[in-house]
Amino acid sequence: MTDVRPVTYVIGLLVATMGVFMLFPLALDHAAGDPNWGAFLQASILCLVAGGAMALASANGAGGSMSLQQIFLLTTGVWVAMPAFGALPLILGAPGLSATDAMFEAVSGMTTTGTTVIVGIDALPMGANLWRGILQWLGGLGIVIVALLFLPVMKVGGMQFFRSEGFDTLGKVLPRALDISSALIQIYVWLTVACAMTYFALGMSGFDAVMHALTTVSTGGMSSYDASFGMFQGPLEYAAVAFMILGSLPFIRFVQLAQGIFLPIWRDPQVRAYLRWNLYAIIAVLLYEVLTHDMSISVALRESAFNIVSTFSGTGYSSVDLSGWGPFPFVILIVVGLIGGCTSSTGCSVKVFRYLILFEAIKVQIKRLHNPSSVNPLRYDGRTVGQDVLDSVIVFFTLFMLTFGLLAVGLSLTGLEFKTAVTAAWTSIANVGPVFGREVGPTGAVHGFPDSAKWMMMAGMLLGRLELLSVYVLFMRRFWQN
Amino acid sequence: MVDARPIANVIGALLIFLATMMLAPAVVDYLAGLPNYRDFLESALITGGVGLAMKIATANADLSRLNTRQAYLLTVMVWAGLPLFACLPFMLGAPGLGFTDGYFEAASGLTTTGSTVIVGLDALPPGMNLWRGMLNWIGGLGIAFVAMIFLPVMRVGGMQFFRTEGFDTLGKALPRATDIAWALLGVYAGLTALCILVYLGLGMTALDAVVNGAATIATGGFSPSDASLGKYPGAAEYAGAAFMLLGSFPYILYARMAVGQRGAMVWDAQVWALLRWTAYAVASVTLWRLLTSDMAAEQVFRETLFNLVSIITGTGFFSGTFAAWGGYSMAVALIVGLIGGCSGSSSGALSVFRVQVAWAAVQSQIARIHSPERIAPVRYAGRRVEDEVINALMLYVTGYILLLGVLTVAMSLVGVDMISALFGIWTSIGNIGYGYGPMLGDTGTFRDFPDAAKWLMTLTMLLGRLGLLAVLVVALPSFWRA
Repeated sequence: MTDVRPVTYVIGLLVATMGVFMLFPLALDHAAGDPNWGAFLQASILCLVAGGAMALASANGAGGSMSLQQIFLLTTGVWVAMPAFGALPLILGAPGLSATDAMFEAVSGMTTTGTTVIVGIDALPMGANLWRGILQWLGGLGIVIVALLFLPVMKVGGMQFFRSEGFDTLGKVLPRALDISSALIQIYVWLTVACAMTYFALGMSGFDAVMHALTTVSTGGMSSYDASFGMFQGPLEYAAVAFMILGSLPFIRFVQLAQGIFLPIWRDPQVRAYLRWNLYAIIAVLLYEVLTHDMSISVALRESAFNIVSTFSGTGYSSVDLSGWGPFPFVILIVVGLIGGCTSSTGCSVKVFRYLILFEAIKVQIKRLHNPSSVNPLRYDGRTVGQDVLDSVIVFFTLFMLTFGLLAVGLSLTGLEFKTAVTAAWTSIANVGPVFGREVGPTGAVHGFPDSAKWMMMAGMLLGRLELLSVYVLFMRRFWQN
Repeated sequence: MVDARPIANVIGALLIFLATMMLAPAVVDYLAGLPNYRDFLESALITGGVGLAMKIATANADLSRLNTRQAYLLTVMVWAGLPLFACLPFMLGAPGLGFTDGYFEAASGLTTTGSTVIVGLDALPPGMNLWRGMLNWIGGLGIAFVAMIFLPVMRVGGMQFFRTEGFDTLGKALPRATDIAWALLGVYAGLTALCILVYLGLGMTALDAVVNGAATIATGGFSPSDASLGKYPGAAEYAGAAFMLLGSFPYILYARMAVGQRGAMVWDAQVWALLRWTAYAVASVTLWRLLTSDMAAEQVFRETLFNLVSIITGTGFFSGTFAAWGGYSMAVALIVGLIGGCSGSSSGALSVFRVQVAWAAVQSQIARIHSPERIAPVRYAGRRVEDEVINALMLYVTGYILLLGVLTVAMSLVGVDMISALFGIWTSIGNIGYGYGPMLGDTGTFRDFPDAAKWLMTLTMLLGRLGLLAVLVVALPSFWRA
């Protein structure tokens, strides 16, 4: 049996940390004279006590290195436990959500999805909105660390390709993990600060700037307004585009950049492909809009750039009513949502890296068809891609589509109509945010969905966020033996 | 450069065959006293003339030395070229279709898709409906032949698994191909005759029985009525479901049963999986519809059985009120349509074999994640599946899904809404025949789709029919070099 103490130790610490983070909205609401601060006080105490107790109880088993099994348990454990505690303020305080709704909101936050069940966001106390932003920010930070440190070791979905030297076993990773995490955290914080300052300079109020910076850099997509980013049409949209793209580039490149190494980010095929595909999608939608609607080029450019990048990066803000765009832009949005950002970023979905590998592999396969004797090794970024990497990429892709399909079937079983079920499955598994369909409220909130559908969407978000396999493995009997 | 003479020679022969076939509807219409028979005669003359010219011009071709490259080209040219002539009766005669519609209808027939653009089928001359049924039948026979002989040698999408000894190169396969073809033809014709007799016994008119019977065994789906097989609700639906399933079993198994291996069918892994999955899908959708509607149980079961079997086998007959079944049924239909029938039959889509092996490969990958040193070979039907087969197969599955996405985008670009576009591509690439979505309107046909969308669907049908890669290979520049 696996020793769970190291896992519960870390989770306990993280929950307690979350309790500390609750002090920010507490202070904000208190300063604003909103009685809602009491809810944060209660929640914060609960987190500190529960987290502290958990950490203390398992402190004797902690320390030393973790086994692969424990890493798997930890990853999923964190993303289940944190939203459970993160949901507390939303139950105890302002929107007064039910347990299901609050959990949904927190999971949607921590997985940086951004789908909401709250209608009347504008009227929420500032603290509650800030808390939603913080949830996303923490989720984004968490996933970058997991993607950089854990996934390559877990060999999930071809991520072992990114194991760098001295990084290939867990024993070697953990000592350096702290260095890398702190470098990451710094960059993440600086990006957020830069984003907030840009927003502020372009005319947002201080609170809005912070709130939206938290959800932009984490590619989360929650907003303090029912109208989402539609409140800030104009130059602010371009600023958001820039920061959403930054949030979905590989953070390891920023670390290198901070150390003065410029070449890798310039040469990274993933970065290039991501920017190129964004550009293609924007141009295609722009042309379509200009040719089919009577729209000025500047408005069409702004709207298409903002909404394409928002979906591509998995952020999920919207600035206009997307359903009025006509079939082509809509389908493009669905497709770019299924591509997603770069690996080791806060972006979600299948990710550019995997598509690049798949395209290469298909090319090689076709070449072999009519020339069976030729040997074409699969190359990416100048390196040969091993068979095991290719296998895991393909399996990841297959499982992603399979999970997407099954989720859509499951959701439609709860009574949602076909289009709603498909887009809800899409938004959950790719951690994008918007859902389209008859059952969705006019502000894009999914409060009207049946509870069973909400739980399924939560499962989808967690699966998508943690790259599927790291969760699925937990459900294999053999994982628990040995 | 590829020597095109053997290809032209074979196509010439096939055109002469096609011209001969056109005489049958001509006779039927002549006996019915309809002037339409002239159009068939004219079409036959054109087709036969061109065929004869091609045959004579390439009389010096050496057919026995057909290489792999020529085999590819031949396969693609046959399915792209024959509709050019098969559509002549539609354009010259009764429905008076334009070239786009005519080619669509003929390609849909020859690829055994079964999507139609004709409204008012019941009012067509009997010869014209017979011709549609014949197209289905000829196409189904052709594809069963290609699937048994060409695809394994061409290593398309993992089909090399079915290469039997002494069959692994074209040089060895072709001499025996004639034997196989005769055995296949015997089985195919026998099944069709049986199906027609059963339909006759269940009260269909002679024409309806013949056309429906031919389209059933070919898993084609052209029916001489706008109501499709819904014209004969009741026992005919059960019989139809049974024969559609028979038509989607691997034909090689019939051949083996004919030579005395009685157990061949009973022990085949694909056949069992197909039956099992069909049973699951039918049971769950029946339950769902019983719970959500107030129709009689028998009717619900019958409609569900008939329509889902029609989709999973890629036939495309429909009955009852499929479009109004609700979200869950639609999602299940979408998924079973992606799976399709067995490899080595006339039905399309991914095929049960590929889905099974892909699933086994996924499982072995997951097992490898948490115990990397363990090597779990993928096994299918007791045989070990080589890495090469898995690779080819997984990339096929991946390519299939990617293509589904890309083509849906293309469809939406020409103005088709998302649901209609998705189902349009789904039906074409899987050679199914169903349509769903606002653009089908109340006719249930593809008549009102833009011309560009029809051409896209035609292309997709060919892609799906010939196993994607066969077509893509021919489109590759390096194919044409030395």
